[in-house]
Amino acid sequence: MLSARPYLMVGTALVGGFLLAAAWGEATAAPQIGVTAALRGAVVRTASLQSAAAIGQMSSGQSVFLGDDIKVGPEGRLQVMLLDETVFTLGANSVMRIDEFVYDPADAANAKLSTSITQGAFRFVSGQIAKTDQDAMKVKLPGATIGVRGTSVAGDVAPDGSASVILLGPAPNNSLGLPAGVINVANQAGSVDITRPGFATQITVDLPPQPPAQASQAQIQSLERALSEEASDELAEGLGVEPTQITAEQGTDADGDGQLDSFVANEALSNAILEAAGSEGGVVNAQTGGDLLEAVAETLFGANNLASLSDEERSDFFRGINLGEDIGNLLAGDFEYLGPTSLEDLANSGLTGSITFSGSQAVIEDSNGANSGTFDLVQKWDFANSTVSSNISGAFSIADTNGTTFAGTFDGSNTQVMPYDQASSGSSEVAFYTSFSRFNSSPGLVNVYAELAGEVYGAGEPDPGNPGQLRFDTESSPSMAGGETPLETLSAFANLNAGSITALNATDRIIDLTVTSGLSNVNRKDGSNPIGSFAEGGIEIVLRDNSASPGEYINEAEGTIFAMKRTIEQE
Amino acid sequence: MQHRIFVLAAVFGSVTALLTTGAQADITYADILADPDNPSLNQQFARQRLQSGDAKAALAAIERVLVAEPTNLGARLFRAEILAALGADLQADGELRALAALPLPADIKARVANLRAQLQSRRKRLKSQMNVGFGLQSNDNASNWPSDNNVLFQGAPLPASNPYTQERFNDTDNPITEKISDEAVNASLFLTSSYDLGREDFRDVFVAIGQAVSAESDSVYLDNETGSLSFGLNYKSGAFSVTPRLGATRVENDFEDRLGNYDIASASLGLAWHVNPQQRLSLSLGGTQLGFDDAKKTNDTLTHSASLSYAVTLPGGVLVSLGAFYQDVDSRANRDLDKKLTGASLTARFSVARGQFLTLGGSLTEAKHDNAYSQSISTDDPVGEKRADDITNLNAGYLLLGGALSPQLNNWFAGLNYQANETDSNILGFSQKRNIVSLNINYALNF
Repeated sequence: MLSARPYLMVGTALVGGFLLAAAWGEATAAPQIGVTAALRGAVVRTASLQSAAAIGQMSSGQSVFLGDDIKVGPEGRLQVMLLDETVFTLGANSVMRIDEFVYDPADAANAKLSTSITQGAFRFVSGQIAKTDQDAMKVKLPGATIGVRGTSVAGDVAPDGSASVILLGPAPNNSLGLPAGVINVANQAGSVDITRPGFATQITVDLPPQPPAQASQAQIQSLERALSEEASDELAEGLGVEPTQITAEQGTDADGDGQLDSFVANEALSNAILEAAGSEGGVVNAQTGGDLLEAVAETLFGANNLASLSDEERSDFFRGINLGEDIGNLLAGDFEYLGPTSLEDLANSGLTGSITFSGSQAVIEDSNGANSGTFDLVQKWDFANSTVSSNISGAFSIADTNGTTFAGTFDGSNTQVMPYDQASSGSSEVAFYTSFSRFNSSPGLVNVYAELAGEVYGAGEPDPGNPGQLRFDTESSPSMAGGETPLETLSAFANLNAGSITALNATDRIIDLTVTSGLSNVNRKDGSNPIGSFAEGGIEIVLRDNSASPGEYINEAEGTIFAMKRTIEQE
Repeated sequence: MQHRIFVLAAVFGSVTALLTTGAQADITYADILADPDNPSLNQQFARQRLQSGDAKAALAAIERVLVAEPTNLGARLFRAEILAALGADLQADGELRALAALPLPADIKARVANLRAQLQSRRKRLKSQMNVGFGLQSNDNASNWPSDNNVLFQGAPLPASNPYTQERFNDTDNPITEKISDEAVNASLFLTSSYDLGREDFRDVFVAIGQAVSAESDSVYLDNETGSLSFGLNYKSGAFSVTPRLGATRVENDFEDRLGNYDIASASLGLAWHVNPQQRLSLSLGGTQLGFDDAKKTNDTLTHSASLSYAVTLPGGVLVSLGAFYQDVDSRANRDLDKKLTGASLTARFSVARGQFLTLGGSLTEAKHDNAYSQSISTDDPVGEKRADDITNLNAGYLLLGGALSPQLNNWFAGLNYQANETDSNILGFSQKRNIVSLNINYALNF
C-alpha cells in the first residue's frame, strides 16, 4: 500500500521547506519524505512509484520520495533520514521501500509510517511518529511486521525471507530518563513482544516468531559489520592497518608528573603513520590526522598538561591535519619525550644548523565549522642565526554575519623571516612569545615559538601601504625579541581580493591575521643527535568590527598543521 | 573550531562535559537534512540533541559523523557512551573494545576500561548488592502510650458470659503510665541478589537477606533486632508484570515481656500493568502470619491484604502515586485483635535537584475492630458499638544520592524522614499520637 494524505504536504513543507527550496529541486509531484545520508558505495533507486525522480545511483543528500525502492549494493550502506526524524541505516544488499508516511507535526495523533525491508541488514531509530502509539510505525519484513514504540531496532533479512530482529534500546530505567523501547514482532502465526535491549527474535516465514532470547556478542558484531559500523573494522580501515594489528598499548609515567615518559612501541600504528606520511609531506588525510593526533599528543605530553587548556586553546593547538613522521617514530619506540625543551636545550642538542618543515593543504575552518580555505606552509628554523622563516601560500575567506564574504590569498612569493632572541632562552617559558600565554601551562608543547602578526585596515584606519595588502607591522609584535627588533623584510604577506577590499571599507571591519610557528622536540632513546623534532604552524584569521576591542570578533577562522613533514634535515 | 571543541570535549570529557560545552547556535533537523554529511554540523546536532534528552537522534547523528570520519576517536567514545546510556550494552562494548586497543592516553584508557567494567557488570546474570546502613531515630512516643492494654474501659459491668474482662487489659506487670520519648541508633546490613534467567518473560529470581539492630540507652522500647529473608521472581508479558514473593522475618525485642518476640511469614503476589511509559497500575495481594513466642502466642494473627495503586509520572519528573488498601486481621486466640482496615494513600515524589528527591505523602485508615467488649465503648450504648479507629499518617522524606555531590560518593545515599501518625478511637479517652524523625546513611556495593 502506498498512501500519503493531502495534509502530508503541509507537514513536509513545515519541516523540510528549506531543503525543498534549496537542495535539489528534483522535479516531482510526489511528496518528499526524507533524504539520503552517510552514503557509501553503490546505492540505487530502482523505482519511484509516485515521483519522477531519477532511477539509478544515488548520492548523499538526495531526496527520498514516497514509494521509492532503494537497493544497496554489496559494499554499500546509507542512512535514510525521514522528516519525522526516523533514521534508517541500511547495510550491504538491503532493499527498502517507504510505503506510507503521514506526518504533520500539528497532528501527531494521525501520523503513520510504514516501510518494507525485503532483504539485508538494517537498523533504525524511531522518530516523532513512533513516540506514543505502537501502531503508528510499522516495519514490514517478508516474514513478520515490527510494531515500534520509541526505540532503536536492528535486524537482518536473509534472501529466503527469514530474519532476526534485535531490540537495541532504550532500556527500562535507563540513565537518560527515556521511556523504554518496546517492539512487537508479529505475523499470522503469532507474535512476540520484546522489551529487553539486546534481546532478539528469529523469524521464519509462515512460522510464529521465536521467543525472544539474548543476542550474542557475535550476533551484534555481525550486524554492525553488515551495517559498516563495526568499530574495529572502521578504525583499522581508517588507519590503513588490519584490525588485528591494533593492539592495546600503554605508556608509563614513572616520575608521576602526569607526562608519559616512555612508551610501549606500537609497531602497527607507527607503521601506519609512517606509511601514510610517505615522502610527500606528512599525513594529509583529515580523517586519519585530525583526531588520532589528539590522542597521540596526549600520549606525548600527558593528559594533565593538556587538560589545563581551555576548549578553545585545545582547539587551537590540535587543529592539525598533518602528522610528521617523527610521531610515527615515537610510537615505534625510537624516541621518547623527556620533558620540556628550551631554546638553550635546542642550542646544546646539536641543532646548530637549520631544519625545514613543510605541510600542505591544511584546512582553515571558521567558528561555524565552515571551510575558509587551505594553505601550504614551509618553515625554516635557523638555529645558527636564530630566525624562523615562514612561507605561506593558499587562499582564505571569512564570512560576515550580513552575508559578506571577505576573500584573499596568501602571497607565497614572499618569505617572512623573523628573528628570535636565543639569549632569552634558558627555560621553557621564553620571553619572546606573543599571544600564546595559554601554552605556559603546558611546558614542552611549544618551546620555541614566534609570531608574526599584521592587520588589514578598514576605513578610518591608518593605511600602512596599498589598501588591502597586508604588511607586517613590527610594532604589533612587542614581545618578539624584546619587541624592538624590526623584521628583516616588510614584504607583502597576504592580499585581499578587490571586491573584498571595497566591502571591507564599506563595512568598517578589521581582519586580523596571525601566523604561528612552533617547534617541539623529542629525544632519541640512545641520546644520540640530532634529536627528533616536529613543528607546528598555523593561521588565524579574525574578523571584527573596527569599534570593537581585539578580543571581540565577528568570525574567526583557523588552521593549524600540527606536525609538519621535516623536508630538509639539518643543513 | 566548534568541530574540534566538540571532538576534544568528547575525547577528554564525558558526555556530561559535552552537555556543558559553551552555547552554540541551534542546529535544526532541517539544517541536517540540507547538509546531512557535514561532520561538524552533525556533531553539534548530536550534542544539542543529547542536551535536550533525545539520545536516539544524537546517536544517529554521531553515526553519520563516523561514516565520514571513522577514526574520529572522540565521536567513537561519544557513540559508546550514548549506547551504554541507552542500554545497548553489546554495541557499546564493541566500540569500547576497539578504543581499548588504541594507544590512548592513560586517563582515557582508564575511562574506557571503567565503562567496559560497568557494562560487564550490568550484563552479569548474577548480580548482588550489599547495603550497609547507619541511622538515628527520635520517637516522641516510643512506648505507644496509651497502649490498647491500658485503656480503662468504662461503663456498665461486663456480662459474665463475656470472657474478655477489664482486668484482662490492665497489664499490671508493665504499666505504661506516661508517654516516653526516646532516641535510638540503628544499623542494618542487607544483601540482595538476583539471577537473570535470560528470558523475555521470566526475567529473574531474587533473594534478599538482612539484619537490622536498633539500640538505645534510656529505655528498652526501641531495643530490637530484626532478621529477614525473602525471595521471589519477576515475570513479564507485554505490558504486564507479575512478582510473587515469599518472606520471613524474625523480630526480637529486648523488652520481650511487653513487646514480645515474634516471627512474620508473608506471601504476596504483585501484578502491574504498565499502561504507558508514564503510567502504571499495580495490584498486590498478600497474606501475613504473625506468630509470637511463648506467653504472647495468643496475640498471633493472620492478615490478608489487598492494595491497588496508580502511579503516574507528571511533567517535571514528579511521580504521583494514589493507593487504596484493605486488610483483614484475624486472631484465632485473641478476638480483641480482630479488625478490618481500609484506607487510601497519596504520595508525591519531587526531583528537587540532581540526585535529590523530596517525598511527601499521607494515608488515612479506618480500622474497625471485631472485639467483643462492645459495651465498654460507651455507657450510652449498652448494646454495643464496636471499636473503630481513624489512623492518620503523614510523612515527608528527603533523599540525597551521594553521586550528586561527588563521583566518589556514587555508592552512598542519605535519607532524612519525618513521620507523624495519630490514632483517634471511639474508645473514650483513647487517642494515640507519635512523631518519628530518622536520619539514615547507606552505602551500597554492587558486585
